[in-house]
This record gives sequence, C-alpha cells and structure tokens, in this order.
Amino acid sequence: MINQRPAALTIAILASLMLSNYGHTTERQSASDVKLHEMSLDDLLLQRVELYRDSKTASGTNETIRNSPAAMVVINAEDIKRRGYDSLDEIMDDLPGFDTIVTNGTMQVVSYQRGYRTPWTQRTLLLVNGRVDNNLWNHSAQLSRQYPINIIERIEVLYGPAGAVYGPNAFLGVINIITKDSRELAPGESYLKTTFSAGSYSSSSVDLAAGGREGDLYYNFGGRLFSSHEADIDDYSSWGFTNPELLSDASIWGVGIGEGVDPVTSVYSPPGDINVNGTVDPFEQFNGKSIGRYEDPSDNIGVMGELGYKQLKAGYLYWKTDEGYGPYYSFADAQPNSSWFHESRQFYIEHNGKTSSGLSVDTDVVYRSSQVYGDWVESFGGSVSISDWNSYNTAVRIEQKYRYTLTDTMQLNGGIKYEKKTLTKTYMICNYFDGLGICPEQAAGSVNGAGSDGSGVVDAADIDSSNFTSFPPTVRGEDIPGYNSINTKDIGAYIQGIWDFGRTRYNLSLRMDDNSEYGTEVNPRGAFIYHSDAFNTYKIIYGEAFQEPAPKDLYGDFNGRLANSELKPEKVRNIEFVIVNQGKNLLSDSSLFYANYQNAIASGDNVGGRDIYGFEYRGKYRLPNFLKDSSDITGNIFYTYTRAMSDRQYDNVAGQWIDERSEQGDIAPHKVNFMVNIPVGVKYNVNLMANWLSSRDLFSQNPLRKEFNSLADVDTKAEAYTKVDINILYQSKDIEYGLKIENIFEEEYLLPGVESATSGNNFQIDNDGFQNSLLPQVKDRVYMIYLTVKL
Amino acid sequence: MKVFIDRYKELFRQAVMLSMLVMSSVAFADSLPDKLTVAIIFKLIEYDERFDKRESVKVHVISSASIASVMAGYQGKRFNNLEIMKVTHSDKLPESEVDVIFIGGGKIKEIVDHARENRVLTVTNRPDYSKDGVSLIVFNDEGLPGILINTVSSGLEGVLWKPEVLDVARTIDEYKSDSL
Repeated sequence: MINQRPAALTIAILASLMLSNYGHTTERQSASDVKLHEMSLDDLLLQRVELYRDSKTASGTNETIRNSPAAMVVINAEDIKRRGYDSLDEIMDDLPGFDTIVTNGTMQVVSYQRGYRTPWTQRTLLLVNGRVDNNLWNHSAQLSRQYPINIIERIEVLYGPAGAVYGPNAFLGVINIITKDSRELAPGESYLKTTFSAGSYSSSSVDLAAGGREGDLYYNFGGRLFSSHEADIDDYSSWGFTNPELLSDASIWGVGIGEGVDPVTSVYSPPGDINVNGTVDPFEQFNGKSIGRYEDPSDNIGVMGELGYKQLKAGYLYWKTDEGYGPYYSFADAQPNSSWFHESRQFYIEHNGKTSSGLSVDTDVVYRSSQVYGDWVESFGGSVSISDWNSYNTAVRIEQKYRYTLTDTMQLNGGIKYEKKTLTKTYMICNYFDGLGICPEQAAGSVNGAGSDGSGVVDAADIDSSNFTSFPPTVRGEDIPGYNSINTKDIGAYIQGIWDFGRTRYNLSLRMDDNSEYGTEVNPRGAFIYHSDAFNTYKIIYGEAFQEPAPKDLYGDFNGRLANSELKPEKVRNIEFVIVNQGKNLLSDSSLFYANYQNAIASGDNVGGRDIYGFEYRGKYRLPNFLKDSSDITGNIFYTYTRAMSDRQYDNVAGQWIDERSEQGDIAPHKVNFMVNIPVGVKYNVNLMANWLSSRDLFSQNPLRKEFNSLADVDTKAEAYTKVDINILYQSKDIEYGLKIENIFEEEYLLPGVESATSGNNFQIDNDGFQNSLLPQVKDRVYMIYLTVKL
Repeated sequence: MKVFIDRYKELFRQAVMLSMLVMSSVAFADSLPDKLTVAIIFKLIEYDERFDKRESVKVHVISSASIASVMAGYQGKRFNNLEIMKVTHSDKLPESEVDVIFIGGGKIKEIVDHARENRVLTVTNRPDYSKDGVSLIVFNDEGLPGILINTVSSGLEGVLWKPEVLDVARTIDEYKSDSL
C-alpha cells in the first residue's frame, strides 16, 4: 500500500497539470492590499518600498513582506552593488541574527542563525528560487564564492521556523536567492552584465548575467568563475596550531611530508617529498604545490541557465567549490594544501497554470545531485595518511502548490510533495585506517571486508625511502556500492488559509511529512497580523519545524566524527512578536522571540534541549545628504541580542555529555551591524559597513571553556571585535568601477572554532583534536577592484 | 544676475536628477513594487483636471503583465471619485479608446506619439523612459516612492496637472521625440 502512494500522487499531479491552462492570471487583491487605495497620496508616498515587495518565501504564495507571517530581511541587487558584495559569504557577515564564522576552509563560512549552534550551516534552508540547495548528505548550505551574483535580483532572509510550508529542515529560517526573470522584460528586450574583479591574494572573478525575451520565449543565464590563492598564513591573526612550521615538522609528518633526512640514504628530503627520494616530483604536488607548507587555493564555479515559454520553464543550476583547508584544522593534524570539493547539480521543469475554476497550480519537477569529496592528508596518533573521500547523493522531487482565492478576503493554499533520495551512508574512504569508510579497491584486505585496509597509514617515525605514505586509489562518486546507500522517500502535504478581516490578517498552516526513515512529523504555524494604521504593523507568530538527522550524522562515522543511526529529528517551537513602524526617515522592524528546541544533535548524539531568547532590531534610515546635488544618505542599523541556553554540556574530562543547564556558547550575546551609503554627486557612491560583536563563551565541547574542562587553566572566550569595510563605486551609464577594502582598521581577532573545535590551546602537545578551538582571521586589509560592464 | 544663477541651478538640478534616473535604469532596476505603483498611479490620475468631471477611467497596459494583473484586481473598484472601469493588456497600442497608457516596454516613441495624438496620459515605472517623453514616472526613490512629471510631455498629452501635484512630485521639462 505504501508503494502505491507515490504513484497515486504522481497521477494526481499530472492530472491537475493537464487540467490547468495557460491563461493570463489576474491578481485579486487581498483586503490589506486594497487598503492601499484608501490611503491618501501623502501616506502612500511614505510607504516603504521593501514592505510591498511580493514574496513567496514565508507562505509559498505571493504576499507583501508587510503581510508575511515572519520577520524578514531583504538584500536587493542595489544593496549588493553598493556594498560591493562579491559573494554570499560576504553577505552573511552583515545580517542580523547570524553568528558567522569565516573559516576560510572547506566550508568557507559557517553561520549559526538565531543562536542555534551546529557543526556547519545546516539548519537554515538555502533556496535558489524556492528550490532547496542544501547538500543532500550533510544538509550544509555551502555559502562560498560559487553562486553567480549579477543574476541575483534579491536575497530574502526569513527568520524562524517555517516547517508548516517547507516541511523538513526549514528549522531556523530560510535564505531564498531570487534570480532575475526575463519574463519581466518587455518583448525584444535583453541585457548583459559582466563584472571582472581582482584583488589581494591573487583573487579574481568573472561574473556574468544575461537574459532576454522575445514574445513568450525567454531565457536567463548566470555564470561565475572565482579563483584565489587566499591569504597567506602570516596574514592571519596568530594561533599556535596554525604555525606553518608544524606542517613540515618531521616528528609529526615523518620525513616524507615533513622535512628531514632519509634514515636509509641520509639524503635530505624537502617538505612534500612524499616518497622520500630527495625531490618533490610533480605527482607529489597538490594544486601544483608541494604539501608540508601552507597553501590554501580556492576555485569556485557556478552556472545557471533557464529557458522558458509562456508558463513552462526548464532550468539547470550547477556549482562546484574547490577549497583548501585554510586554518580550519590544526596543522599538527591536517595539511591545508589539499582540495575539498562540494558539487551540486539541479535540473528542473516548472509550470505555472490556472484551471478554469480559478485554481492556480504551480508544478515543479527537480532532479538533483550533491557530492562531497576530496583529499585528506592527516597525522593522527603518530600515523600519517593520504586518503581520498567521496559521498554522492541524488534526489528526485515532484511538488505542486495550489492557490485558490475564495473571496476578496480569503484564500486557501496548499501543496503536496513527493521526494525520493538515494543517499550515501558512510563516506567512501580509501587509504585510511583499517576498516574505516568504504573502499571497494581495498576491501579484500580490510578487517571488515568493506573499508580501507590500512595499507596507506604509516607511522611518522617509520617513514623513509623504503616505507612511505602511499597515494590512495581514486574513489568515484558514481561507484558507491548498493550496500553503502539508502533510498528514502518523503511525502508531504500542507494546507494554508489566509483571511483578511479589516485591518487584521490571519495566516494558519498545517503540514504533515512522512519520511520512510524518520516517520511522520506534523508542523503548524499561526500568525496574527494587525495593521493599526498606514505606518504600524504588529505580528504575533507561532511556528514549528523539524530537522531530519543528516545521513552524515546517521551513518557517516569516521576518525574524528561520530555517527548514530538512532538519532531522532530535532524539533523547534518558536513564538515571536514583530513590530514594524514606518517613519519618514526611519523604518523600524523589531522581533522578540523565544524558541524551544528538543533533541539537539551534536557529535552524533541527541543532546537534549535548548532554549533561545532573542531580540532583533532591523532599522533602515534615510537622511538628507550633506553633499550638494546628491541623493539621500541611506543605511541600516541592525542590533541582535541572543541568549542561548543548553540543557546538556560536554564534560571534556569525562568525555561525555552531562545534564547541566548553561550557556550554549559560540553565540555573541550582542551584535551590531551599521551600514551607511553616501552618494557623492551623480557618479560616485561610498558605502561603509561596520560590524561589532561582543565577547562570547565557547561551546562546551571546546576544551578552552573552563566551565566544562576542569583541566583548563583559564576560561578562554572569543573576544569582542569590530570590523569595518568600505566600498567606493564610480558609475556611468554602462560601466561601473569599484574599490572595496575589507578590514580597513586591520582588526586582529579570532573566532570560535567549528564542529567539535577540540584542538585546545596547549600548542606543545598535539591532542589530535583536528578542528582549531579558535579560528584565526585575516588581520590585514583586503583589497578588491572591479569593473562592471552593462550592455 | 540672480535670475541667471537660479536658472543655472535649476538646469543643473534637472540634469542631476535625469542622470541619476537614467543610471539606475537597467532592465532590472530596483523598481517600485507593483501594488504600490498602481495605487499611486490611480491616486495621481485625480490630479489631472480632465478627470474632475469623469466617473471612470480606462487603462491600457503595454508589456507589463505584472502591473496589468494588479490593475485588473482593482477593476470595478473606486479610487475616491474614479472607478477603474477597464484594464486591458497587450504588447501593442490599445485597440480602443483609453485614458491612460502604462508603458512597461515596447516601441516608446510610437507609443508616446500615439498618446500625444490621442491626448492620453502616459505612465511608467521605468525611470529610463523619462528621457523618451513619458509624462508620469513612478519610481523607487531610495526606498520610498518617488514621482517625476515631465511637464513638456504632459502638456503635449493634454494633461492639466493641478498645482497641488507639485507638493508631491518633482518635475523635469525635457523630452525627446523626433516628431516634435
């Protein structure tokens, strides 16, 4: 019977698709929108543009942000241009309600939304035009330099759980990247916009966006190439475990990767001479450079293309990040100059139709793949290895959303989803410790007949020209054996009623999701929105969501990380009060929220509950310009207060989780973002951005937090810091030139380490903690110049 | 001398405004949201004295399905004294008599010439069309709605703006049309 459900669902979707036509749709006005015509012209001219943008992010159906049942921040293309954002990771730093750690490693940034600490950015749903783009296996949002920027029309950031509309994993919030749609162009119109940039550390990028419309046929294209050597380790703030001398220390890495003299031949072996023959041969190089010294190259690529005819659209989204490890790991445990890849593909077909009875039906069919793979050069317990890792995952999703306007004041929405995923269970790993991972080429010699056979792991002290670390056989993602993959099925359905009654709006949603692995989850959301007059809006929102345990956490255990197939989904219940006030010079938008979390997952275990209280102020101001003949000065002031409490903590001495309620850690209680944009005459624009974060306690797994490590001498915190960036823009009609300088006051600071962050700070002793407990940040000014050409 | 300086200042002010608008006018400029655009346009129509004695207005939208969709939602509703009687949409000139043409794209010169010939008010939300002789531009002015009136074009379209409109709108007196 269970197997029949997807088939029935597919038939239902196809049937309704056939019933829908291609007719021109008329947008009936909700009561709140109709109220616009009751406003005086003076009042209309004081309405903030951003509050009237149509958005589908909160409810899955078009509504103004003023009417959305959520707190939201929108960054539009103009903001991106003025602030000189070159990539998504730069945007994260300037958002309220996010604690962003720049790792400069395999995950370029890790951003915790609303105070909930996770290994990576895994509880925020990352969407591109409403389609999920988080990794299928580890659920991470890869916020690096790969997404084309010029094609972005705006980025909508939603705060709070949205499980009642999205189902799984819309846990802390949603980031929805909305790209330009050439359907909005006039017939015969087209555009091309290209940006070239170059800057510090041999960083460069080309970013292109193009689109056009001819009659009912249209296309959208975005592409981006990014490359950087990244900052040298001397450009970072100081941290003992990122001392580059560690990378060639023969006592850690042996005389192969390390520097020393071959005990057999007494010949000098330079760093990176893996086979200890006295020279670094080309095949021993990674990214064209030897290991045993600091290198951290990055190459990112992203491509998006869409072709549409009337209400039918087909599209393709591809991106790949190739990142070095940077200062993410202790140099006593991992070599940074190897490559770690994330790769994603999406093919989709979208149809927007409307039946003769007025039912709008949006259909989306998506095939996607997510891959995580790369090289890993490790020293653990005195043993050195070079291993190859891979995880390859695919999914097919069919989703349909319905919208029906019952009356001028009532609409009923809903949707159904069927998704089938084929997921890697544990990493494919070759050349690693005996029995770990899955390696078909070494399985015969391994203790469990499946994993690595240990032949690639050599004691550092024993390395010489006759016994050195071997290179791993390549593991292809497509070769994952059936016994190491799992097929899961998700079925979801939701219903949502929106009712406008006078100045109030009620938005009620209920969603049920059934997963073949985790079972059934039901998530409601209710919102009461009250527009007391033209300028003031109040919202009370209650929402729930659940987070599936990622396959990585369920099955992907290996050295340094644990997994647990008994993990339960995490659950959040959030209540929130939002006030929006539109003044002539200031738009004030504030949220007060309380969120209760259950079954929080950390290091492969459900570690109890968390409670997070918070206040967010999102202000946008506009002032007369003190410069003659220049547009008004505009900007943002964001303030975030977060108090995150956790029921269980990690006792570093006992090596286990204990019941003790305390600060969760890694979250700055206070954060201020200040942005000011000053137009200078017609052609120049100066934008200044300053971020201040207060000092913060560290996560309990971090051995530097004395409260849960009685062996620590002092309690170490991530100290407060202020970072200031400036972007200067010159624009003529078709050309823009810009100069962006980051960290103009050369602030020197460290941020909390990510994942288990267990390196510690006893730099004389390598405790094989892998992730650095504190992450050094680039302390120098970072320059970028760019040129944009529009045709 | 003072008159000369004031005239110079005014010309400079207009040049600055026009430059700012044109530079923000790529195809995907950060335009005003459609709902706000439509509400403001319908309010502004009342500032044209020609509609004082009228009870209804007919609008044709060229090349903007989203604006047409929002306007159509108001069909049959009243904005103060004016009923939005009919809203049509196509990529071409209107096939029947209308009072207002909203221009989302197309052959601007041809549309503007048609409007002038038929004494129809032209409106747009695209600032770059200001230089092409569209009379009324509703745009995103640093996060708040802004209104720009091309007085020369307005005159050629027969628009009789009430003086109060100057309290809320900025004006330019440039136009471009080969036929003039």
